[in-house]
Amino acid sequence: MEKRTIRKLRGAAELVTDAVDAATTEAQRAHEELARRPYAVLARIEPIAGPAKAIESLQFAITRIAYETVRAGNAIVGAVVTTALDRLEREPARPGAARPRV
Amino acid sequence: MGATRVDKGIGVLNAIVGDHLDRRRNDLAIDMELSRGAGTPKPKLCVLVHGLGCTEDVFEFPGQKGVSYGALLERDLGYTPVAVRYNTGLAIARNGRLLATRLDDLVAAHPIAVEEIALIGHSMGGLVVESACLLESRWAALVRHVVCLGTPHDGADLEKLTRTAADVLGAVRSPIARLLGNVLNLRSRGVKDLGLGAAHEGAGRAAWRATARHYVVAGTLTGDPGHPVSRALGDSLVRVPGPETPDLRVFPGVHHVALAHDDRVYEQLRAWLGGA
Repeated sequence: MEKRTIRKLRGAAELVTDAVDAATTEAQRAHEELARRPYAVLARIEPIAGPAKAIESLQFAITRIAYETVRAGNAIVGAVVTTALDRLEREPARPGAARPRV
Repeated sequence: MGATRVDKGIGVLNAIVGDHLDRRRNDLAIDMELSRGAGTPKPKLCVLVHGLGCTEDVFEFPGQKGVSYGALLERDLGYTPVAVRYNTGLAIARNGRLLATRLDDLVAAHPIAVEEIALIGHSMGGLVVESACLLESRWAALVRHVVCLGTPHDGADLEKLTRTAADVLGAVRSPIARLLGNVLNLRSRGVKDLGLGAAHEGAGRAAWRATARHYVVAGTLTGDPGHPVSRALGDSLVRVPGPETPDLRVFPGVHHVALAHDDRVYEQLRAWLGGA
């Protein structure tokens, strides 16, 4: 494969990784903001305010773990693809390797 | 240079997130490149700068491979055409500085002494050209003609609309609306600069060089420039900046992109650059 093509592929892989990361962060922000609303109402009701706060903390911890898992998975996939393309780029071009046999 | 389909796709991508690609040193970010025509070098250069999300191929006439404003000016007026490809997502002023530097290198490396330069910019390319003219470079005194084709000097209405929409969505107290606003705000610095037109950061009237004639070409969607649609939308993206003068020509029925490859526009270019 041409080095120029490999570089473009690496760029595309990095861009996809960046996009997934940014989208995950934005989705998490919107998700947490929406999820906070019912807890804000429950926090005003004295008898259940305490337990509601505990459940809210638990829910948010689980939510963060889920989003962090997505981000970590994305980073791992990105790193694997980039490493593979780096190795491909370092390999010396074999003359005639891509030519079909007659 | 000659852009492949992938190159054109990368051009569009650079328009949308080119500043991000540049910041991240992504391999998809276009590094500004100037390429001289393959013909015998001449003492006159015409530099063609494309607009947002395009490549140099925008100046090629549809269905006529190799026929472009540059090729025709070489044939008719003895100019050496110079094609520019650049990251249109970067700030216009930054692209102007890059163009000024690259032109310095190009003029220094030209096999014969350069006597005259014509700068032709389509859409955003016109703002980039003017921005480059602001800088005192060795080549700047050689500029005799600056032509802006469909250049949004007063700001692009579509970008202004997008900016307003993003601001409104950002002000609404809803996470989803804010999310949409944030998505709209992802557009590149180059796109945002288009909304400001000639008032983008680093711009100034000094771009109208004393050594050069400055020309403006505008198009309209309909055959009648006075038609309400043409008055409201101009060439679809840029409105006609004012009444026609010898240095401001309006081409009815020629839309924004077509301004970069139109027979009548070329005849006007030839007349201006040929001194008629």
